[in-house]
Amino acid sequence: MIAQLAELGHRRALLACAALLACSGGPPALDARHAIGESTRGAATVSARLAAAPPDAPVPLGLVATTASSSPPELVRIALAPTPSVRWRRRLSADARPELLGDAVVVPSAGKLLVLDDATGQTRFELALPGALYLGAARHGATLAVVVREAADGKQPPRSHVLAFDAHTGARRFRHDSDAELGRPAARAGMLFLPWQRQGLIVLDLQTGRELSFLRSQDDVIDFVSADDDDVWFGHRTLYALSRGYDGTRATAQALGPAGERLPGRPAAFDSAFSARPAVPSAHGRIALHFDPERGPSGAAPSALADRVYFVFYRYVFAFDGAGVLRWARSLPHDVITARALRSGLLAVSDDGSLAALAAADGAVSALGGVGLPLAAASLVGSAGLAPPPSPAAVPADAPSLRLGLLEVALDIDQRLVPARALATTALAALPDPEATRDLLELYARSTTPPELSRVVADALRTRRTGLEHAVDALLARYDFLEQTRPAPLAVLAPALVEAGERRAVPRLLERMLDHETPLAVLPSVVRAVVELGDTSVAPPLLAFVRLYRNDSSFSEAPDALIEAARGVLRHGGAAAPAQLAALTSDGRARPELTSALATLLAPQAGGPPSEAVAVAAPPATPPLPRTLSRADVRATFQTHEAELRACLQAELERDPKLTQLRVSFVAEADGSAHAFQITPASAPLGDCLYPKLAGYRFARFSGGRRVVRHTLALTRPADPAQALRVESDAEAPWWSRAAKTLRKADPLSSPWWQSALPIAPLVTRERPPAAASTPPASSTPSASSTPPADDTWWVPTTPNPKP
Amino acid sequence: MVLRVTRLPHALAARVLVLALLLGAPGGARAAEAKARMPSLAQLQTELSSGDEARVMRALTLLGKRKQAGSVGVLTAFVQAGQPDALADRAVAALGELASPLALPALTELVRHRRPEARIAALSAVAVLPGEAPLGLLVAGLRDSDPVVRGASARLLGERGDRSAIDVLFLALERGVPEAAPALGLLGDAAAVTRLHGFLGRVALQTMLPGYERLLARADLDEAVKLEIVARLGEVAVVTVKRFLERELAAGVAARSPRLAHALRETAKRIEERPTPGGAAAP
Repeated sequence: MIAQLAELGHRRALLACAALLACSGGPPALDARHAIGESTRGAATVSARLAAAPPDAPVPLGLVATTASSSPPELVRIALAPTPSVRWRRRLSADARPELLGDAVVVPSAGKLLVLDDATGQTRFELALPGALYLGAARHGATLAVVVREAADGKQPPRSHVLAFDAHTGARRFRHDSDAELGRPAARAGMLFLPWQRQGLIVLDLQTGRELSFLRSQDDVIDFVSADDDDVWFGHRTLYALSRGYDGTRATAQALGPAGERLPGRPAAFDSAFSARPAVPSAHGRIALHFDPERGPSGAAPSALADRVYFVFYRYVFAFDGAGVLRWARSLPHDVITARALRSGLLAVSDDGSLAALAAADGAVSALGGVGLPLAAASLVGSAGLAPPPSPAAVPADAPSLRLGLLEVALDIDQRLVPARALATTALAALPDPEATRDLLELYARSTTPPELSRVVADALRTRRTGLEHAVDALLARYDFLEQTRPAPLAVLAPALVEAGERRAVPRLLERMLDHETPLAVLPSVVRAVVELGDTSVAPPLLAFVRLYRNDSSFSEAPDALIEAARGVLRHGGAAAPAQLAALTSDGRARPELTSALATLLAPQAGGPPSEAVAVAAPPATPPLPRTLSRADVRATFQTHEAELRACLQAELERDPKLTQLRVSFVAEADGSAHAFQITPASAPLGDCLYPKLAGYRFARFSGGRRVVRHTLALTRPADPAQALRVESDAEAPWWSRAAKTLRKADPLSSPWWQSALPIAPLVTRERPPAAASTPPASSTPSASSTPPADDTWWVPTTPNPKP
Repeated sequence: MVLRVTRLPHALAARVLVLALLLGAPGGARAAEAKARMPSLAQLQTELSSGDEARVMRALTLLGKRKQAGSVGVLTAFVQAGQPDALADRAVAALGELASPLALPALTELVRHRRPEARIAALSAVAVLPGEAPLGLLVAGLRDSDPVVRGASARLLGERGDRSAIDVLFLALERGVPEAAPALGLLGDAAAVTRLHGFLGRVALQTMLPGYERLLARADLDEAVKLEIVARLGEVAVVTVKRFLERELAAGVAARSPRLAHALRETAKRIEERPTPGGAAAP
């Protein structure tokens, strides 16, 4: 093994060059002693040692973060009390999220692992990690242990390395190499817990490196291990407390399942120990569960501190209780990049550098101030029993009710966050509050609601049984060109009202049935609702409706609504109904398709009394419907209406000559109707022109549930202005084919990447001379070694140990 | 619908022919004679149910001219019985020709017909009826999803001459109903003209000019208002305006106003003969 330890001038920092991949003659590989099938052993020893260990002293709240959008990137240590402030900052490009471990900050950067003094930010020592992936570190007492993994070469599984050393001096305690996959460690009671192959835990004595125990799960995945002041927890979706009797099965462990799998992004209880935590802005940390597990009294299941499990999805925070019941939801102004569950609530750090405390009971938000720096990733540590820093504001903001909190999230316009908005929508629909029905309708009516969410609202409305008066009122909404209002979501409302048996809706449904602005595609649903909810009073208007349009071209292609109305006449019209319907066809004036359908309806009644049975007369045998709406079907429908689409698009092109394509997204119903149209780019005149047309399109029927459809219309302006605009339906084309249309021309002078002559520089560690001039002006007390000299271009090979 | 081709009964055919001739003849005596020879309602009803499209069309025409009680009921029942598009639209037009308030309930339903052509026919029939309810139906037509229906409603509102529609016509113009401009040209007063000037530059010139054309042709508008129109158009100063002013001058809109004629002539002369930049839209 090549190891170098050198004094760095006047500082106590040490350079420990542990060129791990080049090491030879190390200790025996860990996995050599753990064969497949080996069972758990030594759990009692570990458990006893854990039980005997006194609780650790509370860890004060601390925050270390990497900055975003700043050049060069920085590492920032933020003190939280009395108000958030920068303790120190230094220019440093972190390769993984920094960690705050006692009085040290551990961060990988440029192929090295830096151990910094928490008080000053100065480097204590460095470890070279050439080509290795830093997974994480753990600390207990003065011993710091890190786990890294070599880069995979595609032939052999990457090796993992565990290295323990003194957190102050860098003096090595032990090192293990393993062909098995090891994960981010945890430490407690002088022991190091290492996740092994996602199946087990290896427990080492942190002082000697001697293996104390091997715990292997026989029925679950072990994706992480975590230690808090009192306990060691491990697991994946389910959290297990390490206990004396654990034999590798769920039954012998205290388990807590925070049920993140059902949530958007499927957050695990803890970050995977086998993946590096990025230091740059990413979904990592922004989609997470935050809770502090507490071991239950003897025999009882563990629980979450304060009975709260917090789910963070970017700017949203949802708080669940131990039973999985949603208690409150909040929308914060900025993305939460990390958080800590405390006894009083959740302490959240946002990407704008601000902190907020959300009360466990009701989610009341107390703004705690911030450092005014955009943050990319952060680690927030501290004992859960601690109180959050005091809020500058005397009184936290009033906490809205669960309904209003959910509504705020659902009505948000951030299209990144649609999955969580859907979660809020579904939760809103589950509330018994009658006003929730109105909220859902408002959400549907918003032009900013994407089709994905409209579909969720549509599904949710069908489950509502309270507040249906709002759904009935919503039937009054109709298309108005002058007022720019959209029609009621009849494709959604009509079936929902039928399922709820809401007979109060009948007069307004009749009104919509007779309204020409009700799209033809939706009309069958409306008539069906009239039939299903109505009584004998609806027979006359239904008959008049069929009679008026029996020979009208309006229904020549889609007579479904008339057939539905005829069905209603039979169902509610009494004894005279069959004769009345027969009279509609006997004079030969009805259109053939209607005549045929009426004959089918009336046929079973020949000679028999009119009854309800008439209404369910078997339709003629039809081939089975496809499971879903195919792209080809969507394309065919748009092509059918190409001429009228072109008229709208031509006008839009005069307003926006740069328009090259139009995206239409909507919710398609199984009956062929469609709703919740969203047109991109959004243009009011184009929307006014297209919307009434699109709402009337009827797509192919299918047997599955409603689905969201996205369709692209590619516009090709002809060279000759006299020629018509070409409108191509592009739904079937994959995304890369669209990109291919706008391929950039290759630069003929540039060489392809595989002909690059750049040498691959050897990765070495070198000591950097202390230079006051290189200190970043914004830093309080940065380490000089963090700032590369101006000529330190990365491709220039460097030599080890340059003279200061 | 399959129309049966049948022979026209000779007696009725003769009567229809005579009636048709008489209707074209001037003079009270001929009208009275025509009225006396008008087929009875029962006869026309028989014709309506003949199944012969030509006979049905003739009967509808006669019903529209037969301004007697009962015609409305017959026509309404005919439409509601479900007809092919052309016959239904003709029947609705005949209802309009009757100009009977008795037709309003039926027309109120028909302005919501699913076919735009039927709606336009119903709106046209409504437009000749007095009162607030017909006005409301015409205004509702401006809200229609079909641009042709909106245009027809605007035109009918203008022709109706009810100035209470000015505000909603301005809204329609704002929303892009081009037919609202000539309607405003027919209805607008001095204040409305000033308001209309505000659309210059925002609405295509080709949309605005028909409105100004109507305004310049009106005898009830002050000369000052018309001079202001010419001045405003002169500020636009594109060839389209030049041609418009010249055309108006030639059409004689300023025959009784030398000052207006002078303004038209001088303004047109001042505008240079160069192509309108970017088409006909106002700058």
